[in-house]
Amino acid sequence: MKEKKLLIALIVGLFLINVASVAYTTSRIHNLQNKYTALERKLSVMRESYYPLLVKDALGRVVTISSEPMRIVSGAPSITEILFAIGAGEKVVGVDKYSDYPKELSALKENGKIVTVGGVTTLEPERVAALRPDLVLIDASLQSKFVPALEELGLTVIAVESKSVADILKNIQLISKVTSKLEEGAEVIENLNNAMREVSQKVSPLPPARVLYLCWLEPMWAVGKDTYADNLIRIAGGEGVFSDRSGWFVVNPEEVVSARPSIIVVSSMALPKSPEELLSYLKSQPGFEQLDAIKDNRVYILTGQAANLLERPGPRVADAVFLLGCILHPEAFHVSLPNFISEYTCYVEKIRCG
Amino acid sequence: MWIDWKRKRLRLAVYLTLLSLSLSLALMISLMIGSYALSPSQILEALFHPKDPVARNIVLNYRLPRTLLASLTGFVLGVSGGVIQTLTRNPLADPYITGTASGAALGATIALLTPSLPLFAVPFFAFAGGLLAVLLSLVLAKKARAGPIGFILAGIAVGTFCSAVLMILLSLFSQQAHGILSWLYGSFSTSTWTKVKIVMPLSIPAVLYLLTKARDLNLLLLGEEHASQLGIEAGRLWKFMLAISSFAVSVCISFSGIIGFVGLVAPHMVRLMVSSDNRFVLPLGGLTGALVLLLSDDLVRSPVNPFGEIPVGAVTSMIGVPFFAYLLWKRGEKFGM
Amino acid sequence: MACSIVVSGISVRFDSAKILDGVKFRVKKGEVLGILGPNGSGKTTLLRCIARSVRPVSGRIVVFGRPTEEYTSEEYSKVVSAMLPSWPGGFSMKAYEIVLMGCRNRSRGLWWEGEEEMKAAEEALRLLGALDLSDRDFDTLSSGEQRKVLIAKSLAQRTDVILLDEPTAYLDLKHKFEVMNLIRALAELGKTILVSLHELELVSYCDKLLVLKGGKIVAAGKPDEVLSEKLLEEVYGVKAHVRWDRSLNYPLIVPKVPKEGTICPRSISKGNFLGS
Repeated sequence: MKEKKLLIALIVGLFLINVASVAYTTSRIHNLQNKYTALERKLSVMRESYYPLLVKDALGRVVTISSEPMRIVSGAPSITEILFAIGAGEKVVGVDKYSDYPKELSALKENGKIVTVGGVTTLEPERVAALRPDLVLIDASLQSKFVPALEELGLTVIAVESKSVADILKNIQLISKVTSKLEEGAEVIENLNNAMREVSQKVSPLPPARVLYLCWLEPMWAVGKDTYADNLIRIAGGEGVFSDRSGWFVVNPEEVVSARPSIIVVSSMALPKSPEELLSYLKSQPGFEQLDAIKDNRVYILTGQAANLLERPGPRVADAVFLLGCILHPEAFHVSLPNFISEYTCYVEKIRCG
Repeated sequence: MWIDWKRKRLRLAVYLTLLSLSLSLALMISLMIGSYALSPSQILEALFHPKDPVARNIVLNYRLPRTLLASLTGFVLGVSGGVIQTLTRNPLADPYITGTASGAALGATIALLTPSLPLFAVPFFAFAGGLLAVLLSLVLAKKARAGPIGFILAGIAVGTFCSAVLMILLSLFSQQAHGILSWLYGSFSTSTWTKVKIVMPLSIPAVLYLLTKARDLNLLLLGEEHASQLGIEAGRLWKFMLAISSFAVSVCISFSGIIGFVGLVAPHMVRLMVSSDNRFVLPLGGLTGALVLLLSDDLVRSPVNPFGEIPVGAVTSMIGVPFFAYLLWKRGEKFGM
Repeated sequence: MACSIVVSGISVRFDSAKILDGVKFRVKKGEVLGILGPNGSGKTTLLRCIARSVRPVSGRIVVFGRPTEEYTSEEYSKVVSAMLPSWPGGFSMKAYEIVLMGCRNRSRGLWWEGEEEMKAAEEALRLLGALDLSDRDFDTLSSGEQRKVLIAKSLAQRTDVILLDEPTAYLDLKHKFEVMNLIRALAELGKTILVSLHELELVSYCDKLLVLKGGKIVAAGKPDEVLSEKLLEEVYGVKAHVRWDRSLNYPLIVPKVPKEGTICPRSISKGNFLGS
């Protein structure tokens, strides 16, 4: 008799424990669900109150972004590249005619999803306005003259400066903030910083390479400090031979010979001549046969996308420093590059993989 | 009058000698100027007993052709300026009044922008452009039958048209505008022996021919009517002189870009300081032009210049204008009629 | 037959105006032809035709047996020299340098003038009595002095035919006569000279006269035959007494006293703007 009562008590006890655990788990789940709903509510409230946003652009203007921009126009290639890099590409409805990266851009331009709104210094405010954009991003140095016209047309304009690597990071931050792509922006920035750090580490033990960077021939235009190219050269372990001067300036053959560059890089996005032509021009300059750069065949002529890489301060700066690092210090990256570089992606992949 | 006549010949000889000596001196000094530091003894060494191949290369293959080109261009511009001022009987004329500069600029720009053309094609296109512009002005002026003034107007019209087309091209190809403009401004930074070898044999005979006609140019100052009655084929001479001087100017600016001021002012300096007789104005004006341009280019190349390779025409104007203003102030009545 | 110049029926048109209409005449070698006519009658244009500055639309000019078109500039400059107005100024040249320009037609040197040319220039200036002006700047000379220098330039060309357009204008009395005497002396040496004149008294220095009005020849012949009261009235619209002094070989021209009130044109009288 006593054993039967004990068995029933055990079974009832087990049953009760099960019920209690289920009840506890259910209530816990319920609790968590409540918390989750509360959090979601908070998030949507936050999202709703993210805008309006007040930002200060590169021209010192305070701009109000009242809601998430859904139609964006970019006035310069570097800006376009940033927009696509942070994932805001689907919001882009208009770009300048020189924007050509990433590759999807050409298809989008073709099927009319993205409209061309003029050149960089020849931007067409009317075309921009016709697209009814919520946001227009322009370059502060080259396009500031269009601000009054664009504002007159009732558009929201933000101007960004793209002169240095620091500018690029700042711009990514600003643009990702404005388009509420903060995470993506942070990720891009981190990748860029990592890339630059990696390159710096590889090249810092090596002595800086003396490099002459030319952006035009006949006459020869070189770059000094305060230029994007010089920035890149510094990061990639080089020293621009004319970095005591600032900006862009004409140099004559004698100055080049005195400067004794060991590497010459010609970036000919603008100059419409073939790379062979440019190389033979360089070789024909008086005194150049004596240069180490010519004797050791360390002359690199960059055209097409490779030239864009070095001339556009945008999110591809990572690729740019890798490519330039390999040009300046091939021994650190174990990849040898040809004299004429146009499509660079395969090289950069090789370089990054080591 | 006999005394004056004899003195005249002496004066010309004296001035010629003085200017030639100054020019030779300037040439020698120019070889010592440049951003690659070389002492005078090193330069002599480089010329005659070369030890350092870099020095030899720089002095022989860069400085020497550059100084030669600069002085030759200055000479051509000075002589042509005097000729054109006489032919158009207009003291405000310069060698580019016939549209040569704008035509050459347009030609050069087209060559720079056409991808299939090599860089050494640029001077040839510039030259062709300059000559075509002059031809067009001549044809226009002939149809209008308006004499020298008509020709000036035609030249201005053609020049303006070429400039307009040039401006359109520059705005269409705004990325290349900077580079193209720097070519147009006029500089000797890209001088090579190849350029000298082309410019010299073409421009020197032309300029020498112009010089031999200095006496007849004096007669052309009286106008075609009076000049023909004095025994020269005025019409033919006028066209010939114009063609030859435009040719010489075109050759020079095709290789060094458009350098202003020298062609306009050098002849006037001679007129104000010496005589209006073309036998003085042409040779002395040429030498003055050569001297001024050479010294200006020296300044551009000199290490004391903090700005680097600025357009040499700007320097020429900056040093020339104050001096010219002074001359005008002191002796300007010679211009008053 | 020593005809230096034969002009046959030349006509000149400027736009729609007929400046010369069917002008024809002959000039013998060593003759002085005086051309008269009121302002705008075509005297200067006629001389310019012979100087080849103006092309007649019809007719021919034959000089020393050859039509003018057949000469080259150099050849013609050795045959015909002209002193025409419309002298462009604005450049400073000395007087003797301008005269030297006339010597260009026979110049042998390429750059400098030879002694021979200097001698010719000197002689030309001396004949004009302008030697003391030789070192002066041309622009600083008076109109009369400039005229003399320009005539000297024509002389320096040493041609057989000399065309002078109003050489006596601006010259004072003494120099008027000097120039006309010079012209006569040159004619004696065999030069053919065409002069256009306004001063009617000077016609006595001419062998023949040609009177133009409205581009047409209205009279031609010896001075004492051509000059008459009728001519003066017809051509110049002037009423005057004309007497030819045979002994002096000099004309006497006295304007007839006008009636009262006709000296002052009606529009200017006391009380009017200019008359008051």
